[in-house]
Amino acid sequence: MDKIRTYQEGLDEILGGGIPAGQVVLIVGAPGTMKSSLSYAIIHENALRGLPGIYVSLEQHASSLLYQMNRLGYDEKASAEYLSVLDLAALRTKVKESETPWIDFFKMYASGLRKKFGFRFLVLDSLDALEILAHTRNHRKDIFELFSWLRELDCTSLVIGELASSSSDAVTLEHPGFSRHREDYLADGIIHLKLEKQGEFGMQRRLRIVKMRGTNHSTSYHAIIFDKGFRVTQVVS
Amino acid sequence: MTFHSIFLAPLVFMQVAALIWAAVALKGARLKTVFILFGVCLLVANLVAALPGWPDLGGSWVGALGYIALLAVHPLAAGCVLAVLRDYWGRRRTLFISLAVVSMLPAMATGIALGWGPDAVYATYPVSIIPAMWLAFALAESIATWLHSSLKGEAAFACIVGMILLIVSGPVYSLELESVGWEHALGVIPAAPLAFAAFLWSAWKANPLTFKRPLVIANAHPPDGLQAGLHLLDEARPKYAAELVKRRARAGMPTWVFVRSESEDAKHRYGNAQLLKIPSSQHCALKVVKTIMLISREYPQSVFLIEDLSCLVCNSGLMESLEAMKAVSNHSRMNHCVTLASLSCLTRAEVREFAGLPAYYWKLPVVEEEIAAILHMELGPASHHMLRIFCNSKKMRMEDMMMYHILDLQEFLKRILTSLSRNPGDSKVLDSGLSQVGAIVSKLDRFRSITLDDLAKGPWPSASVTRRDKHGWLVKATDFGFGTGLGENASHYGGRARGAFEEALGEGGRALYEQTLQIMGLDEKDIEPEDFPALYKTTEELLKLLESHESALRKVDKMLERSSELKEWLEVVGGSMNG
Repeated sequence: MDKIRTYQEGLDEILGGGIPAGQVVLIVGAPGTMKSSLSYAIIHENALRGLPGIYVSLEQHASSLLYQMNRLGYDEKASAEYLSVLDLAALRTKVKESETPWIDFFKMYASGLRKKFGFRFLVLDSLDALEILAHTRNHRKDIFELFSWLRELDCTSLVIGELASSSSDAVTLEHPGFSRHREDYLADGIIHLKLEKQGEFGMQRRLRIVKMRGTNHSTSYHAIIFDKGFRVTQVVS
Repeated sequence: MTFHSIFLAPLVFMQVAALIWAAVALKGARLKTVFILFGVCLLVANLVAALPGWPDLGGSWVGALGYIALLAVHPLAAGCVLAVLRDYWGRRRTLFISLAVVSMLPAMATGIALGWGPDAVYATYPVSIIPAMWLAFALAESIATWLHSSLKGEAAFACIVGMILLIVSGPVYSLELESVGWEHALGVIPAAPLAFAAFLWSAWKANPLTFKRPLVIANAHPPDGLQAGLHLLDEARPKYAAELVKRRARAGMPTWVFVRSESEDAKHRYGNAQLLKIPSSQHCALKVVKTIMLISREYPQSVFLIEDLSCLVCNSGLMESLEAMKAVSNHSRMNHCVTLASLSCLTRAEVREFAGLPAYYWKLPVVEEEIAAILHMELGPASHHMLRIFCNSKKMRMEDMMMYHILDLQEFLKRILTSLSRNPGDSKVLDSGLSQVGAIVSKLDRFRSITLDDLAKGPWPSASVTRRDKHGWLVKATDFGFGTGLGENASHYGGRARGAFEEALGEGGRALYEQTLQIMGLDEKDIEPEDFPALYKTTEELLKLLESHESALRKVDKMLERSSELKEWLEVVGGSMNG
């Protein structure tokens, strides 16, 4: 199976070489765990190496996202040839939400870009926003259909999911949920990000590959540090 | 009589023609507005041109009346011609008579006032202008034909001529006033040769001497290469049939459509084709045949469309309709004309009967589903919403979408997709949006101009689109072949068979039907007419078996007596049991 490298220090090693191509991977975590930044970093690095991708933003405007990424050191101009940001958040202001089939619109744009632009990497930010906008009634069925469609699109997808702060802490054997509507069972891979208390006052971001079909990956929590790029290392107490 | 008064008749005719051209070319909802607008333009132009002659009237009431008569007579005469054109004589006789009489009266009054000299003869010209009216009719019809054809250059030319006619109408009118003795007309000399040239052009292009002329503009090649004979079009509603007729009419071929009702909608659907109402009498099938024979003798290359064969079947019965179509098929082949007959609204059994005739049989897709499939290929599920928005904007249901809506749909998609692509992203998003639009437009163009041959060869666009569970209205072409596309739900024949059992065998019929199905291992929704003979045979066997049980003897005896009725009922609901 072909693997798409993330080009993030230490991450490819614990993933067993990268993300298997064509899979739908859920990146879940509480607010502040840098889900969007990690996803953008992966797609940006791949774009720099000539792998085309799109970043679909439903919440944050493109300008704000790109400004934030520039501040983190990801120069949008460097990857502009291979990276496109689809700002559906801007469309939200123009179209009445209640009447808009957002999932269908997302599919329309994505398939159009796939045909024209031939992207191989997609980031959907975020699944929760899409669910809310699309007024999905049968969440599990809709998400199942969406994931199947993403697989048919023949690209590797990173889907960002939100977890409440409390539940991220509460991911235990008794309550192993990584999503609101059990989409964790439908995805091919799950990368869980969380904030862990360190010492009296400190917090450390941690990352765990919960599942990644077709790879021999580590299942332990690792520390994820951002310092001119992401770096995943062993947790040191 | 002055030199330029020899131009009078053609110039008057030109004014009338301009009005009629406007009315015919832009018929429909805007007809009244356009007609009024052109009438007002004409009136104002005439007034301006005739103003210098006002003092010559001498202020007398007779002169004023004559003046008003001359002003009013042109639009009124045009109204008369329009009434003839739109068959008001047949449908709105009162309106036609009032228009004719009203247009005559003021002119007659002028004649009386001025005395019955040569001038007065002109003043009563609505009588003498009848040949000119025919000229106008011919011209207007041919211009309308060109306007609807793909020959855009000629259409533009016709438009320009129409505009020139309007511009010159004022000076022309002053010429008329001059000829009846009111001098000081302006602009006569430059306007006359121009209008005369237009007249020559129209006389050359539109031979006014025969009513047939617009129908045989040219021995145009049939746009779709249909062979002479009877063509049976198997489609859910006569949509592709309408498109074929429109194409032929546009190519200037004599086209006749037998419709159930001559509604405004039908007129719009069939363009320039002549509509003939199917009489709702007992032997309407024979009357239709007779009409086709009469017309095709007069117009050998005619194209006929029988919009609704089920209408003939309902009134004349299946056998008579079959015989009638056999006669039509032979006659069409011998007279080199094409007869199209739509099999919509017929049961599958009836369709099979007609398909057995010596005719060309075409299985056609459901237009709106093919359009939906084309859109779906490019836009995915969003295509459904796009179509819904488009249909809402047209105030119609999705199933009412016709082939001629495709142009509007293309425009709509261009607008909406470009706008949607501009909003959310960078140049790549816009590029991909435009490329989606381009792909859809070219696919829709191809579908719009597809010939019957190509359509029959397939594959239809819907063959590449899978069934959508979410909305449940889009079907694959393969489903269509089994009847889904014909609006027949899955238990269509099952329901009919159940009804036959109940009608024939009374209360026990339903239970017997269900037991028979169980024995045969059939599900009600899977029943096809081919299963009816086996269904009947199994039921008969079951009844004989039940006969041996004494407890049920009386009931079963009755049922056995009535089992022949069951056979008849099954024949009625599913076609021939031997077929």
